[in-house]
Amino acid sequence: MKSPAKGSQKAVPKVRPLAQLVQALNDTNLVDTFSSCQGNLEGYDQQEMDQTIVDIRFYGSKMVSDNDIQTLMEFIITKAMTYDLEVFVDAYKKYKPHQHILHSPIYVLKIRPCNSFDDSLKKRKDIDAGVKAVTEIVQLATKIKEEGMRLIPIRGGFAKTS
Amino acid sequence: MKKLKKGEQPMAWKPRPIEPKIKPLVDALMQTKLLKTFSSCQGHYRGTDQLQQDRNFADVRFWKLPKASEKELQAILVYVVSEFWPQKTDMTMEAFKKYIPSAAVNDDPIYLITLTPLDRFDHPHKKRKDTDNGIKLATELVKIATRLNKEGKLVVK
Repeated sequence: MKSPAKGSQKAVPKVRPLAQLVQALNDTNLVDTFSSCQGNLEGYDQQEMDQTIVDIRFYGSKMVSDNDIQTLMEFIITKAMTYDLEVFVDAYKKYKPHQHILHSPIYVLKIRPCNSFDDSLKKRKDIDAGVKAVTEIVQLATKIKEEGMRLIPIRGGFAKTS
Repeated sequence: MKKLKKGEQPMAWKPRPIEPKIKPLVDALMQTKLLKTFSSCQGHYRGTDQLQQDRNFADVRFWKLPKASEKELQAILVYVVSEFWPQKTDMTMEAFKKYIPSAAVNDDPIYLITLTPLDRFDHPHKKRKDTDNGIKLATELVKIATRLNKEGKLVVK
């Protein structure tokens, strides 16, 4: 690697926004992430399976109910709709084959560009903006929880209750 | 801009017939009596079929019927993906519960089954053939799961 020129600022490793989102999800103490992909959009990045989406996978933490995770996921996707984003934010519970060693359902959060025909630079920009927005939403959910409040889904959005 | 006729709604959604290659799976799912399908796609692989959203997989989407139990539906989905998994096919089958924003008109979670070719670089003809075989296999598995469920032999974990 090329060392920075004398007198210049020390090179700061660039951390993709995804690392912050993964950290934010783990900070909720509701989920434990085990896999993530920031989306690989260049032509030479492509493999047999589609990699052009951001994909974070996690288990529910111990003593956390499925309903709590569902509320978090619905809060994320509902709030994401209020942002001006060119990505779709989707949340799933995935059923796994019972042959798998860890066969309990896993949860998946996906962020994908609205238009697959956009060029890779635009998709990268849109995805990074989407990841940043979702990180803010997850941090907001954590803050609400730390304040001793709970999120309750209501028609059209969410309410906070103690 | 197209001029609307009297009484015509802008962006009106018009139901279209179920695509023929996915119809057997849709019918088999409806026979479980646990769900109601509302959307399906048989997968579109030719270059000229591509739209802004990825269509390179087959999927069926459905709601759980109010009287059906979620555990029962989950047992059927887990059975189908578990039995599909060891089969020698060039497809991957996945089953999901998809969460819906609270702001939606109907915010009940939906369920979906997807069948995706393992290698998206394969020729469209091969992907079509693999998908058709995958749909056939999935249809048989759903029928078996339905029968086992009716006989009370499907284990709900």
